[in-house]
Amino acid sequence: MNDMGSEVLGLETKGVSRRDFIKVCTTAAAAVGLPAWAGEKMAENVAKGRKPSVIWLHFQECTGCTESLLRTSHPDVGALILDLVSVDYHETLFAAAGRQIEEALEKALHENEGKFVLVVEGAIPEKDGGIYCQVGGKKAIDTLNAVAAKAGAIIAIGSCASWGGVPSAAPNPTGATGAPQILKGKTVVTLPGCPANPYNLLGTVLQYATFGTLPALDDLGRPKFAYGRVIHEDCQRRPHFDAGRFAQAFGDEGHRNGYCLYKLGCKGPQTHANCSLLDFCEVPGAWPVGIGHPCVGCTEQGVGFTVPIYTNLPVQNPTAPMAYPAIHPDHTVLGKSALAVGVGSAVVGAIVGAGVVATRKISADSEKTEGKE
Amino acid sequence: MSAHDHPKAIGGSLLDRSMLVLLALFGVAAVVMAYRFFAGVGPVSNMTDGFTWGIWEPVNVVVFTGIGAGAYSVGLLCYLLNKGQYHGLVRPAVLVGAIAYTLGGSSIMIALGRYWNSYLLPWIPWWNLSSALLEVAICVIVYVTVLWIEVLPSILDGAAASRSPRWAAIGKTWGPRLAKAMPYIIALAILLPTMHQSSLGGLMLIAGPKIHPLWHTALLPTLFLVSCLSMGFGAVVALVTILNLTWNAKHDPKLFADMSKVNAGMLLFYVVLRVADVVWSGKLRFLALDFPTLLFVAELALFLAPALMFLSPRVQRNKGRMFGAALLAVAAGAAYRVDAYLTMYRPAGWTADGKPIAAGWNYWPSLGETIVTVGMAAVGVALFIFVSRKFPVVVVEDVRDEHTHVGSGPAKAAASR
Repeated sequence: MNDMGSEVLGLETKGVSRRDFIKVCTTAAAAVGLPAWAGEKMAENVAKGRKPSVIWLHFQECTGCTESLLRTSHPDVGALILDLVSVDYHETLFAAAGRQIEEALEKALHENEGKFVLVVEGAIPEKDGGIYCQVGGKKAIDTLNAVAAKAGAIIAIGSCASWGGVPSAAPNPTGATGAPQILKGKTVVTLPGCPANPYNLLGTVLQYATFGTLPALDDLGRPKFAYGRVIHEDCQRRPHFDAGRFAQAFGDEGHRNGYCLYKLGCKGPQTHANCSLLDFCEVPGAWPVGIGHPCVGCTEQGVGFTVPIYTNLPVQNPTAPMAYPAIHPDHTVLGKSALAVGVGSAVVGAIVGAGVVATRKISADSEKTEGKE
Repeated sequence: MSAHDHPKAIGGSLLDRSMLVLLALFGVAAVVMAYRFFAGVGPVSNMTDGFTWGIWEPVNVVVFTGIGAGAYSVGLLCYLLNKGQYHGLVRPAVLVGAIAYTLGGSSIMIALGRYWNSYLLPWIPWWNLSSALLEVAICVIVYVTVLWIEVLPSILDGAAASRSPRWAAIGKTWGPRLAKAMPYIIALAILLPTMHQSSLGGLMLIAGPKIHPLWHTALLPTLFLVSCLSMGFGAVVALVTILNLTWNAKHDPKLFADMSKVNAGMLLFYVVLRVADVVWSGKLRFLALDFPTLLFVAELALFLAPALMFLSPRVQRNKGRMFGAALLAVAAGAAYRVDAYLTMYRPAGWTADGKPIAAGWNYWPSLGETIVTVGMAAVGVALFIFVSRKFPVVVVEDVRDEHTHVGSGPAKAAASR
């Protein structure tokens, strides 16, 4: 057991210890909200050679999601990701080309039919029959439909595959659209983001490989563990927002002091993502708000690449619900009035008066009975 | 405790005229409270950032619990000093205590600006253990529970005597069981008020220079503890006198005279402490012909008057004068508490020569606040009447005594002893 993972994978030679290996698996498990033992189980499964087969399709995109996956930092997580999952087809990473690679795809499809994980990166053009994106002479839309039909799980990584992303920005000349819109009726896990956080992918894939289940999804197919809340809710600058401390312009005093970027056009209040909670490629603060730029809303359809970067958006969950009473003193209804003074004094007077009268009466009665006896 | 000293349920019509008046007063208050929960504490009160407690804290909490401290003071006499002859006073005093503390606690809920956060209070990991307010809050919550447990024997006695076999069974099983646990409950009931009544003074200790120097002293916790005892004794005497007149409750002048001598001691102790403290800490220079001095002297007079009255045989003989003195003892404690909490409190503090520093904040209770306080007091009285009509709380004058009639309580009680 000592070198369980690293021995099988030959990672020792790459300078990756078992400890690092388990750490990555545990981080991935934590990312999907699984307990730490799940990470160990993932590592065990991988060590036993049960690596999930992954087929990775590229369509209209910039390969940024793959690039960010490869650039995960110390320890060389990029390498580990490639060792944790068995990537059987990936146009960017394959040494092979042409007919050779197409054969590899066919082979992977047959060998792992119904079991492999399909990762879609990039938008799919629908206009003019989908002729604007073709790989190996086959149209993107046809490849996607064919491969998806045999897949065990489908994950759309990045905003392009999730809902269209940059290629679908107006005027959208190719009719670019996301994978869920093409694969109607199938469960497509969407991991929007430009790029998506690699750990969100890793966690989802490993959960599927280890337990055969997918994380809980919202109605847009986004895993709730990562996209359940808007960035604003967990933003490290949130206390500044609550205290009303805003950067008014780039480089001003507020900006240099790390104040809230809302007034510079931050889309955090409407953008669902876990950027503020899970560091990109393990680099602390490596996300727009962390480096002093407002969130551009890259994960959110209708916000990212649609609303101009420096345009202000209303806050989605602005304050406490309206049913909560106001805190501000507004003494208009039963507040200051001569009546209040009068009633207050009358009550005190009545209490004192009643006490005096009662005492007198009881004393007198008591004296009478005393006299009798 | 003699054989015929058993408390019994008063019975009678629940919805008589006085009850209707009390419920009507509470009804108006309930409307204000409901409105407050929707519209916020601002529109119904005159509370500001300067006067954040209004009258609900000083009156509903600090004065009500002072009156409710009858349970504490009688408990001290009866259980700690083992004076069994006071046993008959325990049940009414405890019931008043339970009601007063419950009202005090619920007034806090109404006064809290963000009351929806209060469900977090029992979450121990979030407790700020250096907070005096937390001590008061937790202690009062626990004490309310303890007081109601102390009321339970009356309820279970009532149940045991009930005609419904189910109720009777519950009363007969649980009554003796509770009796076994009672010593521990009583121990708590003595400990808890000692803690939070002094903490109520401790709260004002923290307010520091915002309290006039004549009121701000390191003895605040002690003075609050002593004043709660004097208020409690006074409240019990006043209460039983009223009960004697309305329901022919057992009224034992000798007993009251003895207890009131203790109370006189408390009142005098307070006066000595207060004056000695002012002299000792060199605060005599604050005495001048002004409002604070007038209030200070008036307060001392309020404490001195009942003390001297309680010690006078002429007063001890007369039920009415005793009643008046008891009321004065309650009023003295109430005045001291309201003064320390509100009248002599200034948000911006006092200058070195005892003049208030203007800060733009003024306070007088709004109509809404007064209505809520009056309504709370009314529902407390209503609750007391309800429970003592239904359950054995009050010790009634022996009915076999043919001469008994309203107004002749003391003599008869003296004869029957």
